[in-house]
Amino acid sequence: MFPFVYGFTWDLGNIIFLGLFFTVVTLIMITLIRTAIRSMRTMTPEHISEFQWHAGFEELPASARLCRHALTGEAPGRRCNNAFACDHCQEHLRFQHMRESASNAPLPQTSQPFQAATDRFYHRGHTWVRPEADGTVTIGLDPLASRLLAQTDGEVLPESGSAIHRNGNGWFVKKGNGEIVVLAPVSGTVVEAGKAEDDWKLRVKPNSDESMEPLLHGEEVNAWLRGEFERFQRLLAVPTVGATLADGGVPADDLASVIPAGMQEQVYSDMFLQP
Amino acid sequence: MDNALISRGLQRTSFTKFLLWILPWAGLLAVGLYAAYRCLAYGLNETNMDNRFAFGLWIYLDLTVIALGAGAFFTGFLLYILKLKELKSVINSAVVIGFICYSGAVAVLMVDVGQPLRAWFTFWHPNVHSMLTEVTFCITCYLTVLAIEYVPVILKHRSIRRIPSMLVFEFQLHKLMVVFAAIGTFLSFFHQGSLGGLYGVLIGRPFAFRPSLGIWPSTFFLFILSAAAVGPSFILLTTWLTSKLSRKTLVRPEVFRTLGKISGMLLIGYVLAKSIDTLIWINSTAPSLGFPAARFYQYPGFGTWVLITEIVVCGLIPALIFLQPTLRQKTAWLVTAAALACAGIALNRFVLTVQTLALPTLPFDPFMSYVPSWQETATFGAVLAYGVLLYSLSFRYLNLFPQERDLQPL
Repeated sequence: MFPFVYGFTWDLGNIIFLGLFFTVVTLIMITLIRTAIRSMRTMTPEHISEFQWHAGFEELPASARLCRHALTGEAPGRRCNNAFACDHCQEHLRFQHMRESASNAPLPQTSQPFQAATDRFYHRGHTWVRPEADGTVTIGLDPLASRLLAQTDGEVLPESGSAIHRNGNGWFVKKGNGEIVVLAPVSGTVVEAGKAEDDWKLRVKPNSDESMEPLLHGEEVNAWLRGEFERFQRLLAVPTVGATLADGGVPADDLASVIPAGMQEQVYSDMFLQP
Repeated sequence: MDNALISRGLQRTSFTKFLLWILPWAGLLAVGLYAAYRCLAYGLNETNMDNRFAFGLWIYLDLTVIALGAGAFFTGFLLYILKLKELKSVINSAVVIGFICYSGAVAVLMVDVGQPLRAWFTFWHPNVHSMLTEVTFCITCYLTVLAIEYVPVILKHRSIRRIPSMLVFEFQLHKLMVVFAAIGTFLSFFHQGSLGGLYGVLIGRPFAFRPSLGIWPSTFFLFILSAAAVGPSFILLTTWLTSKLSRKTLVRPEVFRTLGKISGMLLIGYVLAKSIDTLIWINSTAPSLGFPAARFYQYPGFGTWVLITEIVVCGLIPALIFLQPTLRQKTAWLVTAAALACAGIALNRFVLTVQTLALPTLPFDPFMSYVPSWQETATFGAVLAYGVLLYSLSFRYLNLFPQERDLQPL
């Protein structure tokens, strides 16, 4: 195998065969070392959040991965395969272009379980982002999440000065023995944590390159919230009966009270897109 | 009981039912491990192999599982090198099957060599002119590559990826998977070929001997082509079987059709090459060595039906089914064709391993028969049980079929 091993000769067969073998072994080693070096370089909170989000996204049910253009009826049934990174999605650009050149027909009016405020952007993890006059943004829970987390056993909000990353951990909500991670809708530095009387949870100074493009806005928000409420109801459906939807009425203020004890973890995990 | 370990959004049978499924296989594995222990502790006289039948059930098993495991390298090649994105839905399963096949083959080889503690001799003092040396080096390297390819599938498990270093390593390793796919293709090309070449160079065995094309006998190329053709068929078959046993839709029907089409195109090429090779052997190679080809088929149980079954029933017919667009639309036809193709490859490896050694080559030689001992059979069973167990565990706890989630009814 090596020149110093008994019986080794410098003939062509040995040189070609062992040359190829050592090339393969070296290539495997180099690739593994390269992987290790890249891993060490990307062991930052920002990258970890991003990787966690991507890994978790692949496991989301299809109903939670609806493309925003499916919500508006532009691409019925289309699923997102881009981890909701609309700012890097060629299809999103194409749809936007088509929308600009087409007449702006409003979405058909349907009954809404919630009325979402129109002055803010919405993240699929059920948070909203409201741009403030001083350049910061405030972050809060959307109407569905507020009802799901109406009764909690406390929250752990990040301290002022700490960094949060889009799709990474925003803050933690304690509920019973479990803990729910609320995903951060933007990347930036936490300026202030909200008080109990505020309608927001965090005030954040967004990173300079932060884009609001991946967040839902305008008329797509209500369509998305309606779909999310239906998804929530389907999660609670009795398997033998199948999906049944309430006819009429308004959502209760404390939706968590209707979730059976054994299903809470799964429901929160699904609704809050836990990685 | 183990719900927290099952991937989110996937539905699996209850833990009790799963336990009932794996228990018999675990029992078979235990018996096989005992048999393997006996072979290692008391020597190869625990087997029914001898100087004439030096290759028996175990080598037959090795050749067959390595051919069937070719789906791993070929699917990786099609997905990562040729960018056939549709196969992303079966690549994880293909890697697990490949790993099972190759690790099972290496485990049996360790028992077969009789002195596994001296296995390193073949690396330290290689005879580079031996086909077996090439097989040994390539299989060892490729098993390492398969283990590396298996790692991201495991690290992606929900509870493991919570560890940041594992998550990041998996992400970065996955990005470089194209390198391992290329290495796997290179290694598979040579060891699949060398396994065939091993028989083709046996000039003292006119039934197997074939003239050289370049530096390799024709069986070198036939083995590569047949393994590449049947690999996708085996992936198709195992995916369908898993789907039936678990009562879940795992992949879209188009994936079955793509696998079938690829298998069909390669299989028809293989049938053509094999037919030409057989005709040359019948009319030229065998007679030139003093043996009319008909003489090889005069023994009971080993008549020409074997050749016809191998080339026509398990080669041409499945290839035509795969290549017929209307038949390809129906999963039942695809599965039938895949099963026939896999049976064909198993028969081909049986013929080259067992029939070659059974046939007399000297005037005073009798036709030899060989029946494996219970220890050989149990060790064979252990590899089968190991494969079923590892695949069952992987299917239950890992994300083998990424499309499965989207295909479940609401």
